[in-house]
Amino acid sequence: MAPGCRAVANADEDSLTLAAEAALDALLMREGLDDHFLSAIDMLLFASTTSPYLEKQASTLLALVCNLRRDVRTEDISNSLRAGTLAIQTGLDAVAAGSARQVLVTAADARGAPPRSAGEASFGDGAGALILGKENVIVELLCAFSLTDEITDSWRGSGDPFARSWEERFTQTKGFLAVVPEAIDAALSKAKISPADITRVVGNGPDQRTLASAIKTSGIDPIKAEDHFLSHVGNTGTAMPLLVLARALETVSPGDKILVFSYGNGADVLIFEVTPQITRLREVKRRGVSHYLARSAPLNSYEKFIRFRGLIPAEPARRDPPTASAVQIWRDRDTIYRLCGVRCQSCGAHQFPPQRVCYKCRALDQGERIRFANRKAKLFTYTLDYLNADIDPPTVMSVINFEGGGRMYCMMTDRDPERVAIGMPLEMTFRKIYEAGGFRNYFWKCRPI
Amino acid sequence: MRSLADRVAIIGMGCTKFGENWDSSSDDMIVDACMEAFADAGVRPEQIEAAWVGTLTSGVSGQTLSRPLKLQYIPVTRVENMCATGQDALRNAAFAVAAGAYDLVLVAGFEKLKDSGLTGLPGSASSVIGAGNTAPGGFALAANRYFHEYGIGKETLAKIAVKNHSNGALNPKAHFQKEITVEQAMRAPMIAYPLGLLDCCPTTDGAAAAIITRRELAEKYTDRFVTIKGLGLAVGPGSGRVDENYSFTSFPETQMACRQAYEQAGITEPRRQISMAEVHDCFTITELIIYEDLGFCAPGTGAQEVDSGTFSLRGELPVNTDGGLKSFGHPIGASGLRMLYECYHQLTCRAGRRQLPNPKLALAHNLGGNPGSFTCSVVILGTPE
Repeated sequence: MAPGCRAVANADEDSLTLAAEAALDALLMREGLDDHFLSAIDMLLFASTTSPYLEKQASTLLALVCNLRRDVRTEDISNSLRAGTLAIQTGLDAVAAGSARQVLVTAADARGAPPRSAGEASFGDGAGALILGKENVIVELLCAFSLTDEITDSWRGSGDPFARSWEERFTQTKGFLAVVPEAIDAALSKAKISPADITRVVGNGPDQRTLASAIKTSGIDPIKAEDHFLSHVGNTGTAMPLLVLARALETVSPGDKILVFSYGNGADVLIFEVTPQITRLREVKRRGVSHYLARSAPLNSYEKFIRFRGLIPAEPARRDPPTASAVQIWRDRDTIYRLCGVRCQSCGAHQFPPQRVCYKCRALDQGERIRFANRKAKLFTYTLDYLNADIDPPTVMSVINFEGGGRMYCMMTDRDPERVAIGMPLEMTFRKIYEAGGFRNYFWKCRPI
Repeated sequence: MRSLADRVAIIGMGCTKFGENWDSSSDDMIVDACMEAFADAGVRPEQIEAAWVGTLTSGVSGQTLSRPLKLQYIPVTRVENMCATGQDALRNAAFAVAAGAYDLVLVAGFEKLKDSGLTGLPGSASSVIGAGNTAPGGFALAANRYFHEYGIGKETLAKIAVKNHSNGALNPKAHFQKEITVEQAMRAPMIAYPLGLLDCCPTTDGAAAAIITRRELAEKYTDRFVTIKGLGLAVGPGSGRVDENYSFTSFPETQMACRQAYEQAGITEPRRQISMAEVHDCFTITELIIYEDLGFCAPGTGAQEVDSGTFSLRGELPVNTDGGLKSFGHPIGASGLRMLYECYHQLTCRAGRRQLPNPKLALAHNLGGNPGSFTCSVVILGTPE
């Protein structure tokens, strides 16, 4: 096995929370206050083969996390590693048809593979997000092409936690290396673009060599293939084309032609041209892929990895397990998912969770809804709790004071317990808290900036 | 508003051995504590006219007391006010006696924690908002902030644990009757940083009971009784985790509850006037903050007082002479009454090897909840006028 590493979702992350992270960055929610709905997003798509649910949309929950309006169309697109580009095409079609002004496309995967398998070493957990629209676009669609191809080369049965695949010689020869070039050829000829005019190539594939080999077959110089992070992030499945495209957009120039392909029971090819608006992307403070690559922390324990994935049974803590009420969560959905609190219109005090009687001036029902999800905070006090049942102890319980006012008591994630200190700067991130009531319970945590 | 001072007398008390009482059920412990109280007061169960019983989670309704004692169709009320349950049961009973509704009333408190098989208290997260909270974790928030504000460390906390274990070693009813060292306390396994195992009170079974009557009737039963000088109860608005100005280094509920009780008891200089205090040392940090909130010393000076031994058994103002929650144990509903059991024995000069010289006024402080959201009771007992 080649040396390298892969991205592993934290114990409190899954495809839904990874998508939320990417979406919040795309929507610029990491900066500043946001007390109103994002008016132009009319559609939210979530592409994944590892959605937390087979029945129940993840995109509806993401719409709340992203503070979208109620009258948006949400769709989960699944069952193929091509789901990411299928979602982009669905979104582009909606924009072209005028049924959506802007579409938020998210794609995320955290795939499982049997312990010690090649898949376990080569898969990576990740997410990407794009906003599609008609005006002031940074890349323009020149051509979209899809083909379908029935083959059992890789699959995951319902109830199976692990992705499976047929023997590699077959899957590459008759699958990836046959179908991807066929689709690229067809797209190029449909768009009347010669392979030499393509400046950048983004796709998905099992490894960089196979990926490069597929585009070479279509006459594109394999050097034009972006680095797909396969040796240090891994095969991020559905997310890969979005993730790599997001990274590529950090360095493209106006006029560049980007070919985006993705494979999985057929192939999609999208050809984009970079517009002069690309400079706008760099003026705004999006974190982008580079930021997330830079903030990764090493996970050197294989035992910890398989524990995070739920692959080894652990002795349950001698504590009452948590309970959950679907009713309560529904009633508090704006609090739990949007992270909304209130600002007292009588005295101005910010409070989370929302209080009907203001803690400060005791005015009744004067709370005006405000959102804390985008706010920075500072650690006021904390504990490293080893008693609480936690898959990755200690639980870092934190009392944080938000910039602009307001306090919250919550868990801290993505932290080194030894470096937790009063006064440290923090931000909010959406995470999985526990399984209770037979379903997955999500909420916000703080994390060091 | 009439002061409650000296209107109600405690004429008898009972308390089981606290600990991991594997051999006793809740009913057994209720019977044991109440029978000791009846014998102490020289009254028979059938003379009791009404009763109040406190438990956090070990029973529901007044029947939790009437069934084991076979009380016959008298009013019995169950009280629950978190860890301040035991003293709130007494408080409600005292009002009924002071009002003249009943002459002879039984108050009992108990908890059976060791049947659950759980570590710590029962109860689980029922919402993701606030999930991850544990009792030691909640108090550790106060400890870290206190350390940050006043520049002290774990050693002060260790000394408080050592003091309470030393007192408990003299108490045959205490859960732990063993001295510990500062080094042991400092090196104990971490529970919720900075609180280690020996900063935490144990999970304990136990029951305690009191018989109360009107002051003027007390002599009819016994010549060794104490009177209630003050009863304070402060239930906070619970906004410490919402209000960014809440300090975590002092607990307003304690300050407000003792203010009520001091006023009734005519206490203006608590450190000088109070002979001894039983305080709610669920964690060592709690006891440190309580010293300051009760006005025994100025904010931020608790550590110096600990170093100088102010609150030791032979110190200027002994605190937790029976070992406190730390060493005597903490069966929730019983703890508030257990504190009074020690005050009562000290004031009637029956505290054995722990006896203080001629105490006149004893304070018991019973605290429920978490920093930021407390229920606090303060009871002041004294020798009769």
